[in-house]
Amino acid sequence: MTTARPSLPKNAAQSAVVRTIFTRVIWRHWKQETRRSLLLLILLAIGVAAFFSIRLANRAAVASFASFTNVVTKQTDAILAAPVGNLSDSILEELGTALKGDGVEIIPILELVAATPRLSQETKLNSRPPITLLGLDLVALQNLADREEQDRKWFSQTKAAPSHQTTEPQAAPNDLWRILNQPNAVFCSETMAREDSLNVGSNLSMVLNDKQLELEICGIIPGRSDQPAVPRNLIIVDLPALQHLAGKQGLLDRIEFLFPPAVKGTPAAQTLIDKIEKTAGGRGRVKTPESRRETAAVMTQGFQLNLTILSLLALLVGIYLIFQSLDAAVVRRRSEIATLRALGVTPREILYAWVLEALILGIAGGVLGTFGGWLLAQGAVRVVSTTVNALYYATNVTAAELHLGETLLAISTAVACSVLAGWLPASRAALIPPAQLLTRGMDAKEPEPQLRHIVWGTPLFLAAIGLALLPPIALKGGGHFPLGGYLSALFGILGGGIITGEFLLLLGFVAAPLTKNSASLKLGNSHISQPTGRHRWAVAALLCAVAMTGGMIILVASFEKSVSLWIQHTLQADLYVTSDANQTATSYNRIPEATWSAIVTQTDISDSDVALILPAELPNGTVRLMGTNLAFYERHNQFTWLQKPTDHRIYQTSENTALCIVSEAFTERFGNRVGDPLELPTPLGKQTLTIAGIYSDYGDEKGVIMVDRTHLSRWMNTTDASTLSLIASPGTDPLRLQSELRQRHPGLAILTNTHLRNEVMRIFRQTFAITYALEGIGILVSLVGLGTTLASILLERKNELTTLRALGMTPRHIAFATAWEGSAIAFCGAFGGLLMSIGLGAVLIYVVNKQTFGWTLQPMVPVRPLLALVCGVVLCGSLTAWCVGRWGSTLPADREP
Amino acid sequence: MSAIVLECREICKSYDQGPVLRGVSMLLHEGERLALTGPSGCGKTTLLNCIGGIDRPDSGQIQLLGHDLTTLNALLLASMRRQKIGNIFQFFHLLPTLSVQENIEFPLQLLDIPPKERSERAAALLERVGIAHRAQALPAKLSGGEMQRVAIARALIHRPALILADEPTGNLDSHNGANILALLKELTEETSTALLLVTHSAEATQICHRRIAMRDGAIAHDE
Repeated sequence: MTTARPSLPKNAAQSAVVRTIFTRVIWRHWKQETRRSLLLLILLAIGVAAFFSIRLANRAAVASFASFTNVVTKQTDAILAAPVGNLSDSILEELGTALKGDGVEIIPILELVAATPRLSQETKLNSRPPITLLGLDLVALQNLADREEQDRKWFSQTKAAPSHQTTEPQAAPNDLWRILNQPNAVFCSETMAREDSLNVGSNLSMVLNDKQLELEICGIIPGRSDQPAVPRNLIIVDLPALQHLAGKQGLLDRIEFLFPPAVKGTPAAQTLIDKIEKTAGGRGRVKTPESRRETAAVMTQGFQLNLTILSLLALLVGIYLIFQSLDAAVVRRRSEIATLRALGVTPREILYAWVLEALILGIAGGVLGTFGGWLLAQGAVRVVSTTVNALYYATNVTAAELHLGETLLAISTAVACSVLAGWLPASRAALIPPAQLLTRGMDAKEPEPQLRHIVWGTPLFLAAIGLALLPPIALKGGGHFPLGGYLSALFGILGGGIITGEFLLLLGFVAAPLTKNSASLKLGNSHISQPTGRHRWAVAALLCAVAMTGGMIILVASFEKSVSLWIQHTLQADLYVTSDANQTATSYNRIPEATWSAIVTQTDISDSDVALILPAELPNGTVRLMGTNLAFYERHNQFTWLQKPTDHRIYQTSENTALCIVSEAFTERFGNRVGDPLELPTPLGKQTLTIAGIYSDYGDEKGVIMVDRTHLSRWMNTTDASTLSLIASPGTDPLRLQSELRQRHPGLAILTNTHLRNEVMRIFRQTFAITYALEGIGILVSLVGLGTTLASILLERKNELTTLRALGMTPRHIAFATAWEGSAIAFCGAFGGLLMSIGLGAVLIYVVNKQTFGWTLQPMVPVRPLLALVCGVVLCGSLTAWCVGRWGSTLPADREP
Repeated sequence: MSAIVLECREICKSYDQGPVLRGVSMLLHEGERLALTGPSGCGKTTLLNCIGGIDRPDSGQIQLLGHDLTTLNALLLASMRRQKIGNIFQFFHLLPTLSVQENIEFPLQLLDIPPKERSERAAALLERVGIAHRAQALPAKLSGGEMQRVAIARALIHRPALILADEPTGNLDSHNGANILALLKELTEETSTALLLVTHSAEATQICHRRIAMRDGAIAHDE
């Protein structure tokens, strides 16, 4: 008699089996091992949180760039701005004529960055939050609000009764004429009013250019629920009043345009843009709000990419932990899986059930991580905005909001990583034979894949070297993304991780004679001499964290050394003067000629340089344009040349009209070389300059074009200065001079040479603060990973532990053996990571940094911090291993089945 | 009458799922071989674990060479196991990363015996159990019979007063099983070591002087 041939399970039946395995087996294990499950979940969540918080903080910093005018107008359709300097407001009449009858609202804007006055003891640069002063035509704004029937009143707010309070009006409302006739009347944000206890009628001190201004609050900026929240540090002033206060009569930063609703998004909108462009001629360029926002993103993209990639470190180690934990679960449940297989569960169903576990872990970790990340982002956003302020543009964002896109990205990254990490253990689970384990019990040794470590590791290393030689990917705005450099680092770490597992064998061999007289050490060493895949994974994870941290330590030390040498060379003057309102990289406050000429002509000043600095928009991106006395720099040997000019006319004002020198970052960004021509758009028309030399400048990653100030002032039609460098006459005490100048000019920041050098180094270190925080998270997660790895190893060896106890080993003996094993793993990971960090440091210095920022750094290997890192990791690793060993020694003995 | 090596009095032990040992009492003399039999789950291994000091009974007394194991702390228990007890397991439980010789020497190393004496005693036992030619092999390279010989050598190397053997032939074929039993008998006779043998096998019972049958956590017969 024959029976029917068995049929293959159908899909529906298969999913039911997977579901059953998950709910009846896997989920119950999770519930039984609640603490372990929670720990794994938290570790994954930490990785996701680090990644998510940095993304949110970056987004908040960039978003703040765009939101200033949106809160008072609404989304504008076009923006007209001069490529260099300001627009003249005479253009408004021409635009009005050209756009007559088109229904276009024209909004002229002057935007300046001011600062609150310095407290008497305060000496730090960039320590005060920037205040954005937005000059707008308030009458036009109120008309616009009335026409659109918005409940937005600029001129009816009352004195002594701020709008955020619900008290009854105490005095007559501020009317239109009173405000317009009061040149210091300003509107502040509701948040500023609340936090600084400001009311309508309160006074507010502010530093702008070289002056300290006393402003009066005449109202709170009216907000609307359908528009972005008003940023805290935004102040709105009537346009003519701000032009007067800033000494910029007749000048505008930009003009924004609101098109009629029927035109938006139609070809007619482009026709209007063409009209505006035609009217502006060479005086301005038209941008859309999107392209303006992109400018902010482009400016910081290198910085943001670096932070994002660093934040992935914690996630990377988190993935390893998921892999390791799921793999350990497969090992622990081998006999159970074998039973399932014996009962007829197919390998595919086992695979799916384990992948489902990884998937659910990813979702739970992702959700928990996004919540934690949002909390972390509130702290991270301050650090990020400090760096953005110091290096890129004014931002005063203090909170990061949840963002749906970022949340989905973080959760899907967590899920993808988790499933990826769970795939290999799931495949191994599926391969477990049904019968063998049931007969051999826990002693059955799972066959480990015979990875030829050197054979795999070496090509990865070679690939890392090849990738480091690849050119960067060009980004919008002249930026570069060093993809080859990052891939080189990744491949190098992978290769190093694979090869470094072999160190365990070597260490085991070397340590054998030293351990032969101690049972514990001998036992621990015997495990090192025959490392399992789990040992190697633990070494690789530690190597990854130590190599990345060590690489960053080398990069930062090299950076610090280079910057330190650079400032020693370039900061030669006794005193440096700038507006005290310049608290960010894009604060272009000026010193009027009357002020600076009075200072530089003092008898106790023997030599001086007067510099004018302003942003310039070239076709490929924004750079910094600097007009200075080149002969002064040459006299005081202040250039660190990469290519010294051979044409000495560059130092003579009468001869250098068509010459310029550029920074290294400029040449890296735009690919220019000495002798190349540059076209510079100015209010006086295009100026064609020839690059005469290239110098190092670690203060600006966008790139600097340096020309003689006499010519720049003429082109820009201004006599203002941005900074002064002063050399005191022989016998003059710079501190006394500083004190005198401070008294005479309270709106100016006057710094001694030493103070400025110290401040430069402080700001430099501050910009790396978040980097260290991210590295710390990576190290912490990998140390916890070492602990869980050892715990898994001990669980696998539960029978061995029972045997050891039966042989008379005490918990101390067992802990000691485990500590030796853990120390060896930590030592190999840390030592391999140390070696790797030197290679990684080289990639960061010569590839990633060079391609992203365009700076040549002096390589520096700081021995002490690196040794401290290695010792710290080994010590923490040993301690973790000791604790795990103590725990392992108390595992209950196997019972009779 | 020879001296008492082990005396258990009213040993009780429960786990979450219920009582496993219900007032077990027994005596074992020097050089005596005692077979402990019974169906799976009757509490044999738990009793062995309690006698070996790996697990603690809930109540009752276990006197090993006059010391009450139930009153000793973890360190003293470990010390008793190290000096007075030898263990043999069904699945051998050799330390996988140590060679055959190192496995056998291991208990001596725990007792701080000098290396020279360790290797001499190990070499002698290796010869005695017939696996001197595999001294440097790792356990994974051995057959089941060879592994159990190593386990026996390891259990005897430190000259314990009591050998606890949990199904020592349970994982061996009948030929190897018979050889191992014969070896155990010879060696325990030579050294006058007491042997407590947990087994299901009639052949194993035959090498013992006495047999105790357990059922549901209590002694059913003592013959």
